[in-house]
Formats: sequence, structure tokens, C-alpha cells
Amino acid sequence: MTRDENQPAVGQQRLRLWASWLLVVVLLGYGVVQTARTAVNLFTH
Amino acid sequence: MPFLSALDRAHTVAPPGYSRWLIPPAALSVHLCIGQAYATSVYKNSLISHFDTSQTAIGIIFSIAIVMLGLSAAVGGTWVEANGPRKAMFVSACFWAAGFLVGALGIATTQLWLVYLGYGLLGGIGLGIGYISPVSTLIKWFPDRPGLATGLAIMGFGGGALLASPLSRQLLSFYDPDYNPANASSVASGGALVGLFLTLGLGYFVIMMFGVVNVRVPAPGWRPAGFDPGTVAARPLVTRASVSAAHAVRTRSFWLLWVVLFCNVTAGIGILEQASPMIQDFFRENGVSTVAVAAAGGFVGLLSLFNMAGRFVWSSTSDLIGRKPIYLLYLGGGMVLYALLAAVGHASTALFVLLACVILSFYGGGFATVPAYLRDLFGTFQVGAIHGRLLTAWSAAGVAGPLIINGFLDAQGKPGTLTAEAYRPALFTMVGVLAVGFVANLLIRPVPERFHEPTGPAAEIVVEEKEPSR
Repeated sequence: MTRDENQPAVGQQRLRLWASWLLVVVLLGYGVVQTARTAVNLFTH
Repeated sequence: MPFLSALDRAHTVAPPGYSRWLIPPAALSVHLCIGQAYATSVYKNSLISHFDTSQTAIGIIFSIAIVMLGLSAAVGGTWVEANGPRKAMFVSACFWAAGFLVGALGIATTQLWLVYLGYGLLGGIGLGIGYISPVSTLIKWFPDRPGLATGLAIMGFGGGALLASPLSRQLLSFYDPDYNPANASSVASGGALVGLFLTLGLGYFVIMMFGVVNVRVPAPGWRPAGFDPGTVAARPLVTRASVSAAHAVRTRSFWLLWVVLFCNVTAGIGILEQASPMIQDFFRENGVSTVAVAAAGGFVGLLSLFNMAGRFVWSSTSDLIGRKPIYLLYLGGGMVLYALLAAVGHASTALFVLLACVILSFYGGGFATVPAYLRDLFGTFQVGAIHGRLLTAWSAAGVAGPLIINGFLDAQGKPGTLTAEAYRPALFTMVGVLAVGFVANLLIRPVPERFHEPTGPAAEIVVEEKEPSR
């Protein structure tokens, strides 16, 4: 690969950053929220 | 083939300006998927019913996977170092997804051995390779904050179970409308299990590919802007030398750290294994527990959250206070908390929950901090391979922890009749186990120079990042 092919465009890299962090936040957030809802049972039952 | 050559380490060297903050989500996308391994209990009863077999026969699937995790991490660690994180993540994704697909075939044809081969053997290899694949790369990208970086990734493994449990329940309900996840005695049909395995296998493969695409290794000699390795190396126990995996396993410090991890995991598993019945047994009056089944399930959920949070919080804290002191906290603090749990845990539910949650945060912290501890002792040269070998302590603790707790409880009476007093021998034994780990941690010393790799002139080349590190 040449250096030009390797050089990340700033906009493209920013998009990648957003997309990859969004993916993990959504996945992790879903798990945390669902588990927190279960954990609430400890205080309500 | 061009695609396969793109997986090589040589083609994954980051160009100048590549953001290092793309690496933690790449690592997380792998760990969030393989963390599913700790959510197998969701469909365990359905598998027992489908195969019309015993708890033990189904439990073996998980046991094979965990043993293969330890073995593949230990054996494959050097391969991962040599071939780079992208190829390792790709191989892990292939094994992990193939494990689900072969497992689905086994369920569809009612051939349990295919599930052993698929989820257990193939999936277990995917687990081991996937677990260690991003660790060394993260440490190289974050020489200034290795605890934070590995804490983020390994938090993902804990988060993977949180994600997979509710997702699996919802998928089973989707594929089998008669299945009621709120009813403990309800089981899903074989068709629903096949659908679940296929969906998870394909879905996880796609998510893991995000990691494969984004992961890069830093260029040789790269360092973040403004980072002076001298400030880190000036701390006790931190080396700037390199130790190979072959040499590391011949050092006393490696085996002392093995004992530290083994003790920390053994003690944590003691609570994790028994969490739900334990809280019910601790608060029993006239043979009837005052803690409802739903509340006990909530307690397990709360422990999972603390286990996950501890991985990030404590591992990041270790960057500030050092690795040895933080393990003194995990092990010494754990001893005090376990002793309190045994002595006064039955006094109030709030106290019991608080003690157990902090213990579980130390358990998670122990997992997440160990790669940074290895970096401090052995350098970054083959830290992934050394980490792989150390994970055999996890496999051993996975056997020892449940054996200790179940052995003591079996001697005390039958499940459903136990009280807080019945747990005391097991809990005080865990205090002893933690004490062994505490002493082992105190004995850890810098690795003697005779184990260091010879340094060449290339090691002196430094490429400092121009922009402030993002």
C-alpha cells in the first residue's frame, strides 16, 4: 500500500470514530439498561 | 488473495494521524461478542429439555468452551503476537461464528456431540484467540494509560453477558411465541434454539468485523504526543526492557502473578456461582427465605453491573496508583469484605448486597488490570502471548472456585435448607485463598536482567505523534 492510500481523510476517520463508538454504546447500553431493569427487582420485591 | 493479505500485521500498521481512539471500540466489538459465553444459562433448561438429558451433560458444553479458552489463549498467544490483531480477530470471529453454526446443526439434528464440537471446541478457540487479540495492541497504543485501555476492552467481556442474556430471551420469545422468559419452568422449542444460534452466530460475526476493519498496530517507535516513557519507567516494577513469552514463564514473577490471578478469580467465582441461592439462604426465617426469587435475580443483575464497572474503574485507577498497590486492595480489601460477609452479612440485606457488589467489582478489576501488570513486568514485546499463558489461571480457578464453594455447601445440607451459617466455612476459606494471593503479590519483584531481550539500534527510533493524541 502506498502512503496516500494509508493516509486517513480527516472526515472519513471522524465518521469511523462516531460509527464504531455508537455501535459499542448501543450494544453496551442495551445490556446495561436491561440488566438494570432486572436489578430493580432487588429493591421492589 | 488480496483480502487475506490485508489481514497481515504488515498491512495493519497505522498511517500517521490515525486516531488511537478507534482501537478501544474495535477491541470492544470483539469482547462484547465473546462475552456471550457467560450468558449460556439463559437457554440451558431449553437445551436440557430438547436433548432430554441431564444438567451435567449440557453443562459440559460451557466447560469445554472455558477449557478451550485457556488452552487456545496459552497456545495461540505467540501466533497472535506474530500475525497481528486483525488476523487474530478475523480468526476469532470465524471460530466463534462457526461454533454457533455447528451448534445449531447439532440442535437441529439432536446430536449433542455436534454442540460440544461447535460451541464448545470451535467456539472456545474463538473465545481464547478473541480475548487476547486486542490486548497487546491496546497497550502499545496507550503506553500512558494501559490500565484504562485494557480495562475498556475487558469491560466489554463483562458487558457481553449483559447484552446476550436479555437478547437471547427476546430472540427465543420471537422464534417460539409459547416461550415465556418470565416463567422459570418455561422452555423454548428446538426450532427456537436453532434460530437463536444462527442469529447470534451471524450477528456476532458482523459485529466482530467492525473490529477487524478498524484495528491497527502503531508504527514501530510510535508514541503519543507529549508522552515521556521515562515518567512511567520511573515507577516501581515498571520495566523498559523486553521479555519474551518463552522467558517470562521461566520467571518467578510470572508464576506469582499466576497465583494472584488464580486466587482473585477463585474467590470471585465463589460468589458469582452461588449468588442467587446465597442471598435467599442468608435471609431465611423458619425455613422460608425472606428474599423473593425475582429479588434474587435482581441481585445477580446488580452483581453483573458491578463486575463490569469494576473492570473499567479499578483498571483505570491502577494507572494512577500502580499495579501492585491495586492488587493489594483487591486481595486485602477482599479478605476484609469476605470476612465481614461471613460474620455480619446476615445482619441486613443492604449490607450483604453492598459487600458482595464491592467484592465482585474487585473480581472484575483483577481480570482487567492483569494485562497492564504484565506490561509493567515484561514490557510490550510479547505481552499478548504472556497474557495468553497467564489465562490458564482463569481456567484453573473456574474449576477450583465452584469445587470449594459447592464442596462446603454439600457438607452443610441440601439446597433450599441452608442458612448464613452454612456459608461461613466456605467464605472463610475464600479469605484464606485471598491471603495466599496477597502474599504472592507482595513477593512480585522486577524481572532479572538475564531474562531481558537484547536491545538493537531499532529500538531507539522514536516517532512522536505530531497532533495531540485524540
